[in-house]
Amino acid sequence: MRRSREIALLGWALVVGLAVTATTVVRDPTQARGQEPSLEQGALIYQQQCAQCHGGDGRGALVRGTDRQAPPLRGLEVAYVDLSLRTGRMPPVGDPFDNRLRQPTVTGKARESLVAWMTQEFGLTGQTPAAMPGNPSAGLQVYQQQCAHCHGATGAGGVAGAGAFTPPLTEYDPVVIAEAIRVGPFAMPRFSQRQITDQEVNDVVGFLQFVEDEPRSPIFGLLELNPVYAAGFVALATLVLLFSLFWIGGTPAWFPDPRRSPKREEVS
Amino acid sequence: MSFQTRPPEQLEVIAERVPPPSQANDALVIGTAIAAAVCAAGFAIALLLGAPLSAFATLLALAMLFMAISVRRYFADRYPDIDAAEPRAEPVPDESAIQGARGSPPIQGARGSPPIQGARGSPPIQGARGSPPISDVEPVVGRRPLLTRILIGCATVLGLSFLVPVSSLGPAPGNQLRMTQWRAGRRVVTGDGEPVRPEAIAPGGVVTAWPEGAIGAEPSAVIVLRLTQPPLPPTRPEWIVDGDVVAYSKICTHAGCPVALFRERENALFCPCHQSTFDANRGAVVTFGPAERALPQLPLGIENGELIALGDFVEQVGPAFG
Amino acid sequence: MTPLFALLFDALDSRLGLRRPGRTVANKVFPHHWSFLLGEVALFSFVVLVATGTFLTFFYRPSTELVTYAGSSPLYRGVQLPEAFASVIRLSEEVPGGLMMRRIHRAASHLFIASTVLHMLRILLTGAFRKPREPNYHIGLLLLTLALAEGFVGYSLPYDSLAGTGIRIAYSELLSFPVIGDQLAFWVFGGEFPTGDLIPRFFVFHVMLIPGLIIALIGVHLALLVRQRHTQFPRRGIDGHRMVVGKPLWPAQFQESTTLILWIGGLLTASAVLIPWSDITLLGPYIPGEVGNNAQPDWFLFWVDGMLRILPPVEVDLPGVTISGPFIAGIVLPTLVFGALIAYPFLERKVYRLRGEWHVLSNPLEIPLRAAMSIGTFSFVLIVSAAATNDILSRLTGIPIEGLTRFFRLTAVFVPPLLAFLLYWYSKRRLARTGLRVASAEVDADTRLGAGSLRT
Repeated sequence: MRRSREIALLGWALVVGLAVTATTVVRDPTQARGQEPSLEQGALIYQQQCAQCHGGDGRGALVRGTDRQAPPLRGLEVAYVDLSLRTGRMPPVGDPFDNRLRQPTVTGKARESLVAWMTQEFGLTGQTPAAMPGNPSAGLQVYQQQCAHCHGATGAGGVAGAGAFTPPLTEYDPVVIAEAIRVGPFAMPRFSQRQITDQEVNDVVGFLQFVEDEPRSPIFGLLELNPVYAAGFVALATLVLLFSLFWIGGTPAWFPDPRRSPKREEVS
Repeated sequence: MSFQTRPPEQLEVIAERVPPPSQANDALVIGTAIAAAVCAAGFAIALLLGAPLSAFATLLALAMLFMAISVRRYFADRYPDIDAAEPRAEPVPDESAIQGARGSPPIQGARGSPPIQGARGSPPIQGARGSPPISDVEPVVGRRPLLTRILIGCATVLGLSFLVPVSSLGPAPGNQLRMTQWRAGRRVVTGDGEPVRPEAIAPGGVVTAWPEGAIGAEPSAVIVLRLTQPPLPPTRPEWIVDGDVVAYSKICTHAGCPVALFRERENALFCPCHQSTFDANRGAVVTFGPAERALPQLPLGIENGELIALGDFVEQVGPAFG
Repeated sequence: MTPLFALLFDALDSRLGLRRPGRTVANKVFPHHWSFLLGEVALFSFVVLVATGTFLTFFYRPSTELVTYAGSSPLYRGVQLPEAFASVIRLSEEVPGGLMMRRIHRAASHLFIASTVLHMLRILLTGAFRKPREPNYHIGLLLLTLALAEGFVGYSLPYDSLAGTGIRIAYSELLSFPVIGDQLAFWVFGGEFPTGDLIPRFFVFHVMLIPGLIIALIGVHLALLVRQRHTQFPRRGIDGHRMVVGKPLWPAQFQESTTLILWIGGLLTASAVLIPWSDITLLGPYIPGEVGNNAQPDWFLFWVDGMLRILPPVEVDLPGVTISGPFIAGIVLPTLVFGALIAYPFLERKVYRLRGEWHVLSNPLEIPLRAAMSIGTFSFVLIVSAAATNDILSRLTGIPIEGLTRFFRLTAVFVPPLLAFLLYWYSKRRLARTGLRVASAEVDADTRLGAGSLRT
């Protein structure tokens, strides 16, 4: 008994150790080694992750298993490509046409390499905008007038109909926000410099970071309570209430059936 | 002692269980009571010292919860658990004799039977056949019944007249709901008051705009868009500027929420409240959702490079009114 | 009694004659079942609402005039805000305990409405509405309506962006009334939306008119209850038609009520720590002409909002009158549901040819009409309420919202009648299997079995 337990423990230690080693030592080939973005690495990443849908020449191709076309990448704005990579929209994990939030897989130097290579190969235009957090107070006012109707009052994201989803915004880097505003990616409208100035973009970033930094509730990390989530909590609270009433009010049966005799004395 | 002879407020005990003395219960009562007091004091101190909400509110919650337990356990120890009974009032007998009889007295109390509620010995409500009326003073016989009717009729008029001050609560709508603040030549401005120039709107871009001088007049709100595909009928081409800049009323024709979600690829306008969808390419006709009418198109023109209205909307703006 | 208390009581007794009515009250018998506490929960929630609400009224400013916020919140320092919103920001951010009071107030309002609904369900399902208690049942329904109105008006007062959207839709609902709609809307709002009169008027409703009505009606409701006495569950050997069996007010019911109010207070306060019930700081003030995505009313109005979403486009132009979707969803539907609830006691009386008074509760599964009507109505209300969450559901599941809307249209039409039919059939079978049928008079029924049950 004892012995088999010790063996089991050793076995688990081995498994855990291997897992830890694997994650720390074995590197993701798409993660960059070295400090400089390299065009060779960018090419490699494109071949491995993008070419099968977007075509080796970037002119777009049929997505395998569907009858839909992946869009061509030639001549796109570089901010659009950078945005897609930073948000994890591309390369997709799972259904490439599901536009709900994803985790970025090509990050850091790897992304820079890929963008640099694509800029050179496909002639991407423009440049990635710069942004830094500005005044959250002014940002709230801009956000309410230009963004809230799509992305929700606190940047929580929402629905735009016909399978289009507007992502939550508070965890993005400032540059992502700026890129999205200027590029108008996917179904999102585009806002020119005249419509939302660069300072206003910074202010929106400042507001979103303010929201992100606000202390959240102990349960589920909530900032504000959308009525649907509130309804869920009300349902939960009602259950708690009912159990409280069972305790305070005594009788556990929901409907005491007198045909099944109760444990009380009969009244004569 | 039977129910008839017992004084009405004396308790008729059916079963009684005396709780045995319990050290554990006593300890629980004392412990939770003291815990409640300590938490209550803690709440007071925390609130006065400016502690965060999670601190003082938790203490207050705990104070009340502990006290609840203490009270319950105190009573469980100190008093016997009693099952008791009391008689209901004398119930009303079968009313099949008077059921459905039109012209019978409106309140219960059929011939000779004891009246309803509360009963032992209390006088009934109205005079049914055989039972005495509420008041012992009868009207004098032979006076004109017409006087009663005239009095009641006129009193009704007086009562209704008390409702008339309600009309002072708001103006008569008149034509207000059929018009907005848009007039020919009025400039289209943003919420900051800046005139909207078409080149400021990128392809696929959308701007919320107002008539100059009426920013915030909600029924007049419009969205100005630059379409990404060529507009088709029933979009009115004479109200399109620069080939693809068009303006629609922002107020949804379903229940009045602002429509500003613009899916630029399909040029679809989407209302977030109840998901009415309008096709901006084709005169904002409804393609999905509970709205029935298209968003009215604003007659749009251009003057000195700035967008102006060429007149008010020609269709009803916003939701229908009865 | 402690000596001091005895002295006080004697002083009052010799002037007011308290002893005898005091004994009657203290010895009053209450049937003992947990579901009988639901009404008390509603009452205690209302007490909490009045207590916390009084604190809130000391800070809230009922005006939408723009003021410059001079407080500490970094999001609004120096910004022009509607005064109502600014006062609520100040209350939440600067007043010690202010946010806790706001959250408890909001949590208690949810509990008030939820417990009133559950209480009504208990009355409806067990048949406590039968003669002579129809007036009390109707007063209860009126209280529920007032509670819903109070809740809506209450969460509109802070004038945040979500509340303002709800106000706009309320304006559209008023407009949708046939013939008089536009005048009605102008009377309530004091003109064409948006007006500066609305929030002050909502304040008067929320703080004075509706609570006053609720307090008066609760008084009548309780007075009738005391006079008519409780109904009770059937018990072997007890003729419930003639006797009430339970526990006396002192000490048992008093203990339960005291424990309940402390427990409810504690739970509400605990929920205020864990859940940001009414935090509106990040939402921003209402700006007419702007809306935020994910807009819903509070849960108790989901059924109206859901109906607005799933009803297909309807706008019928008759001479002089337009009947629109919002009228059907927001006015006709609630009228039908409440109308059904109001009329139900008389319907049941007619269908089963009931006679006389009823004081013993019955199992709804043994009264086919009641079981079917209840599940039909409530499953419909639940499905339509779920339809109001379609945008959140769409985001969570990835299903396009158009598909969800169509799904809810189908289920709302077909599922409630199906469930009603199934339960009706089950109830009849259950009666047949146990050799019972629905009794038409309680005096004839064996009330030791249950007031619905008559041996065949």
